[in-house]
Amino acid sequence: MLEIRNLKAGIDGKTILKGIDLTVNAGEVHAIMGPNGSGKSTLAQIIAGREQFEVSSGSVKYDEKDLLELAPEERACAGIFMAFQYPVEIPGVSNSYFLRSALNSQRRARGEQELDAFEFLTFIQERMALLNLHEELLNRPVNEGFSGGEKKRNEIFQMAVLEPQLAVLDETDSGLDIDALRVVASGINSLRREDNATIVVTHYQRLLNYVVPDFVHVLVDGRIVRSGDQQLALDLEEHGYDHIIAQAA
Amino acid sequence: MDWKALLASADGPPELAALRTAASAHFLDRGLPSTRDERWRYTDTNFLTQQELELLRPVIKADAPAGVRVRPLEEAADAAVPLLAAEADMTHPFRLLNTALLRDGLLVEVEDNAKPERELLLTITTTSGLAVPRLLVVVGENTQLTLVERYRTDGGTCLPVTQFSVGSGSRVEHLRIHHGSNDVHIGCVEVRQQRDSLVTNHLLTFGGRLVRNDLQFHLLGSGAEARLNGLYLADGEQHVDNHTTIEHAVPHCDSRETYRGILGGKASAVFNGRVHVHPDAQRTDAQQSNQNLLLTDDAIIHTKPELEIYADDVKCTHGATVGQLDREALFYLRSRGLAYDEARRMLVDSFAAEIVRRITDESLRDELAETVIARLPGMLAEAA
Ligand SMILES: Nc1ncnc2c1ncn2[C@@H]1O[C@H](COP(=O)(O)OP(=O)(O)OP(=O)(O)O)[C@@H](O)[C@H]1O
Ligand SMILES: [Mg+2]
Repeated sequence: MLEIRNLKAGIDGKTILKGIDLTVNAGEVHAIMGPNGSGKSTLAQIIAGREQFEVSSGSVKYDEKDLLELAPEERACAGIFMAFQYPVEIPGVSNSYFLRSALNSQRRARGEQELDAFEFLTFIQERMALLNLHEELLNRPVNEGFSGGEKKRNEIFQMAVLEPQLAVLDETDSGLDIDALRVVASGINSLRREDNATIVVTHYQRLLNYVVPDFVHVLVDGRIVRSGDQQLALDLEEHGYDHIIAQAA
Repeated sequence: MDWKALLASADGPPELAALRTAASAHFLDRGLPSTRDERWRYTDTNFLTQQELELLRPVIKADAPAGVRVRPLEEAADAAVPLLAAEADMTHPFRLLNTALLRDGLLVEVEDNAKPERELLLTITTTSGLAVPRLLVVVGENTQLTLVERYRTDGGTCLPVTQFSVGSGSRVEHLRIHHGSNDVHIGCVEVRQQRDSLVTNHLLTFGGRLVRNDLQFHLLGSGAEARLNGLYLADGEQHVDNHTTIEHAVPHCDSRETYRGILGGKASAVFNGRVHVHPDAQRTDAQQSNQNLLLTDDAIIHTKPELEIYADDVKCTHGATVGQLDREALFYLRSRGLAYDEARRMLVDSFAAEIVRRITDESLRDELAETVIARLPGMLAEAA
């Protein structure tokens, strides 16, 4: 589904990703871990289409398409979704209006009928239940005044509504309390299917107890220095990054 | 323009003749404002001197509810005279010009304790030439009025003056909407508020070759509150200038001023917000904010708060921002599937909606939200 080859990228002349290789197939869950500033969010944002980052070499293929050629909205319509590490506040735009516009824009792109206000409401009420979200959040401006945890839950709620094929979740577990973590994790799990895939970026083994990864990758200074299975995450938790980096060297 | 000849041709109710003559002399003495005058620094009106202007009578349509008395000035000149007593001494050149040519307009009266059931709708249309409409609005005590003043001008020059006198305990909501394109519109609004009155003004400008609004609020009785909401949209070579003054003359009055502008093309705009707290006006609470969204590199905004505070126990805040569309927000929306144009429109629209949503009446609010939306694609296409 996603094939990243020797990806080098940076911003303002500064190199951040120094040659990333990553293959994600349908049905898989990949976890990416790594120290602060190693480039995890940069990778996530490049997948989502953030134009500020400059790709200097390498390729990213998504379903045989050259992903780097597509605008962010084209990627979204093709089934890519990124949950932001820092979700953006959009004053004056209500959460429900925003989500309906986004969903209908994606449906239009896929040649499907748009949902009217009533159909949309019925649909999202069911999705909200999945995440224990308060209906009141629907009428509030997107993320404005939301607590840290509410913002993260709202990201997964959007994912539940948009039903992406490839979801990249950038530290969605940070800032969640234990109960919220369980709710969000079960939300992510209930959206898993044979034909979609998830990349979770996280610092904590805790999330991976709920959302069990098939692969764990360790990203250090713009490179994936180790890949393994769930055991790697447990080792990291126990020994820290330095140990893993020393082993890899 | 031969101002002398124009003023000599002034005609109208004989009761107002002396006033016209005095204002006329005062205007000729002062002339048009110079850009050396700080208040007119960015708004040059001297091109009017190069134009031939024919004095034309504006078409004023009024749709009044029961409980609101509306009379043409020509039929109510006697009653108007005391309301105009200070007019010949005004220093605003275009307000003087309006007085010097005074003839067309309305006297609107709402009696004490009246309860008009709906809003008073006024539409003032001018197509060419020079028009100087005048509205005198006298609102009694413990009553209410919603007045919608709508200017439709496709060209020409309109110099309207609107004066409010609002009695104790009354609530007024005043919408002044200007739909222009290639016109010159220089308007004055003066509001005098008595004890415990609340006046909310919404000033909405959707463009014009040159638009200038001068608003003066006088808070004359304790407990009075003024809310000034403004939205200005301009693109191409349009220029919009909003000058507001709030006179806090007595203690315990509040003012809330919120102006937002969206500028595209090579448009320019001015926001000048003066708050004057007189020595006796303790416990004044004045808040002012002006936020601007520039869609192009060529658009210009001059924003300037002017606080003159002569009392010590007061709360006065002000803030001004000038920014472009938020790139983070734009990316966020696009990453959810919204097309670039749609995402931009959503952000600009929500910026404007912060003002429009303050209008109480739902159908007016919806209509103006639509007006904003209709205006945006053109502005955004130009800025793409
Ligand atoms: N817009 C930007 N401008 C300049 N430098 C940037 C920008 N975005 C990221 N960087 C730099 O790139 C490096 C990688 O940042 P990135 O956000 O990808 O790290 P991360 O692995 O997600 O870290 P964290 O665990 O703290 O979220 C950092 O040194 C960061 O300062
Ligand atoms: Mg990060």
